[in-house]
Amino acid sequence: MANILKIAIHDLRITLRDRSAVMWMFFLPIVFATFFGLVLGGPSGTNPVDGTVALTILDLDGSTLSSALIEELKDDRFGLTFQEALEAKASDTVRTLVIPEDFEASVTAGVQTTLRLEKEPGTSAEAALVAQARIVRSVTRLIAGLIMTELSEAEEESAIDVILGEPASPFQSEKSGKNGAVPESKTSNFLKSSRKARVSAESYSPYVAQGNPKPDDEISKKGRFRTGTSPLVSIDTTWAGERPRPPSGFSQSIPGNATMFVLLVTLTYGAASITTERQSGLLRRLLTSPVSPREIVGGKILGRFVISGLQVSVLVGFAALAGIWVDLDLGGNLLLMWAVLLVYGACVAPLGVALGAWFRDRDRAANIGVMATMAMAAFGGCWWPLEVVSQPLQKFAMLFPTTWVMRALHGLISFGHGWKVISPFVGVLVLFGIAFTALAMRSLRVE
Amino acid sequence: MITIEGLRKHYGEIKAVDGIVLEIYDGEIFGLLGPNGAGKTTMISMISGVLRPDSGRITFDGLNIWVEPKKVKRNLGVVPQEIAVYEDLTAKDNLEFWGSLHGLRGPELKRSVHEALERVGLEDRAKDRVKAFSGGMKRRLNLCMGLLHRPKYLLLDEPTVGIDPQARLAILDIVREVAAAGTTVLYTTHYMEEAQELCDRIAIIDHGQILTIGTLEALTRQSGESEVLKVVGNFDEASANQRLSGLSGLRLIRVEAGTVLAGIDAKGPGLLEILPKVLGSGLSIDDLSIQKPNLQSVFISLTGRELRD
Repeated sequence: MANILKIAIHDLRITLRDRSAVMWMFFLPIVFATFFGLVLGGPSGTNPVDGTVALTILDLDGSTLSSALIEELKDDRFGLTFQEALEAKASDTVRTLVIPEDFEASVTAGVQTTLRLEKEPGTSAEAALVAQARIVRSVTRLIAGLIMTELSEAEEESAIDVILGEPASPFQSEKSGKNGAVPESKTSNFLKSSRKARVSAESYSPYVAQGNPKPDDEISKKGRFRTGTSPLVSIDTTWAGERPRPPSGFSQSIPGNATMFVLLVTLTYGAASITTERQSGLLRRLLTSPVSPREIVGGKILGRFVISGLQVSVLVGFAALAGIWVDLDLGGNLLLMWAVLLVYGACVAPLGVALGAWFRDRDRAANIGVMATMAMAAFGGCWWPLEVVSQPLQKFAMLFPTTWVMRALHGLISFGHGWKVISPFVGVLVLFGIAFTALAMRSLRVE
Repeated sequence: MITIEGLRKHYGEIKAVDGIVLEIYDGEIFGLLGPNGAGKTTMISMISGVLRPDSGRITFDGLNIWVEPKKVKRNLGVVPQEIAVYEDLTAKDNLEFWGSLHGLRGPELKRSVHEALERVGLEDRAKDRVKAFSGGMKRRLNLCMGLLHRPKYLLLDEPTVGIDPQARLAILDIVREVAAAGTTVLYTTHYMEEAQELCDRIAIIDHGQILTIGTLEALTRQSGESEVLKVVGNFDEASANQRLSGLSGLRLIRVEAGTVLAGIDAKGPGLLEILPKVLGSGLSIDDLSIQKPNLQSVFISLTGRELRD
């Protein structure tokens, strides 16, 4: 063990003498993390998801129901402006929601109707997506409110019908309206109920979202609906996870760049140093000293780990200081974040040694190291959150250790998870580390 | 004593080392002389525990290096042919690292580093990075790293390759000093002069086999020749063979168009009688040189080739 430690410390000393290695270890990760942190939203991680989205309303219906929809939209952080007529579009309009003429009539008659969202060319696609999501949410609340109103009245009627010995369906109550119009009393009830309705993202039902009322027997089985003015259903609008958006700003750039640069230094400088030592005869010379081949390989792996450990410590230290300076929220568990990155450093250290063993030329080993790092960083979510890529790519990304460390780090930083939740990800990293160590022991034959 | 028995290393059809048997006595400088590709480096790699032999046994005072490597290597210093030093570190850092691997520490390590640097004349460059050193200085440091822990056995694989004559003389002096202090030295070289000047005993190796072993005197005597003639002129191989092969007391070592190497038998009629016969043989001779027998002539007489071939 003493020999392994001597070789590891010696490797650290050589690396720290190399100015370019020091720059890639400490300086560039901090510069990149800061730059991309600011570009991607800064400390607060400003995101259209959190902000107010501009929306122009063109209400061609002018009905009670369309007004109710507009009220719902106002509650959903839209910066609303109104367009009086089709031809009167303002020059600063970015997107317009067109409520069709027959909106209320169609909805109350159970006929599908279409709201049209017109996006102006050159405007933010991301903001348009957010607008679209919020409109769907508002419509869902609106429809849910309408259903609850129907149910309230239907239950009342049903009770009377039972007394009179005549069964009734809640939706039959619409028959009391004229020409499909919603009676005034029903509209006011609806307005009361819709204010209270909230739909969970998890319990969001496409059936309801499409404007189709649920069959009365299904709803009645639930037994959750009551008449009266108290809330019929109380469902809060929430997001899956504890933070309602993918990581952005520094919460993406700090773990992303730490992960990428640890890998980069390990695979480039690590591999290149092994190749150089082999070419110059230093590894063979090590064998002539009272050190076993296993101790040499072990020392080389530990050396890479010590280097990545130092790098991780400096980067986490920077993150801690940045947290103080710019009020940066990194989930409040820097110690666990440091520990996860240390495990990751131990995991990829033998990969650098194995890579160095595969190539005879220093430059070639370093080039392959750069390419491998870039690929693993991109797939592993170091450049952008994994949450924004497609499912097949997310599955493919599971092949890389970067994916698992980023999942663990995002869990800690962005979603407020603790050790219990992230431990499976760390476990996968350990398995990667074991596999890479076996690979390095097999690849680096100093004899 | 270093004992080598039946040492073999084959790479497919190529027999790099083929059944070497050798004993190197305590305190002697033993030379392994042979042309490039003769198997010297393969042999020294196996003796130093870097390359595992296909078969054979290598012991240092009875300890097999492949069975008890750590015990043997504590007493072993190796100077490889390549300059195996960390160029980004200072000379002192290099030595401290190698010294620590050999178990030196604290004041003992510092003293050893200082003495070793002084011995090779690099004490004033101790804190300079090795990448700033000249080729000769790097060679001296390379040697220094093998001497640092005062090994009982020192293996040197062509330690003077590619350096100027002055640096070469300096290295030979250091090896002599080390041997005088009681270290057993195995020195491989393809420079005949080095082996002649330095070694107590010499083994001539070619194609992985030892052709002969002995002191310089014994080897030259063993060839049985008093002088070696080198004849250069305008003639073909056949005519040279025809005109010189019958001359009494002259043994043709190598004959080719334009060049003849021949040994003059020590027990024959002698140089003064043979020389006029060679000149009067009818060959068109441009140049004729006479050499006293040396390792070169011994090698030529054994292999028919010169060492530089």
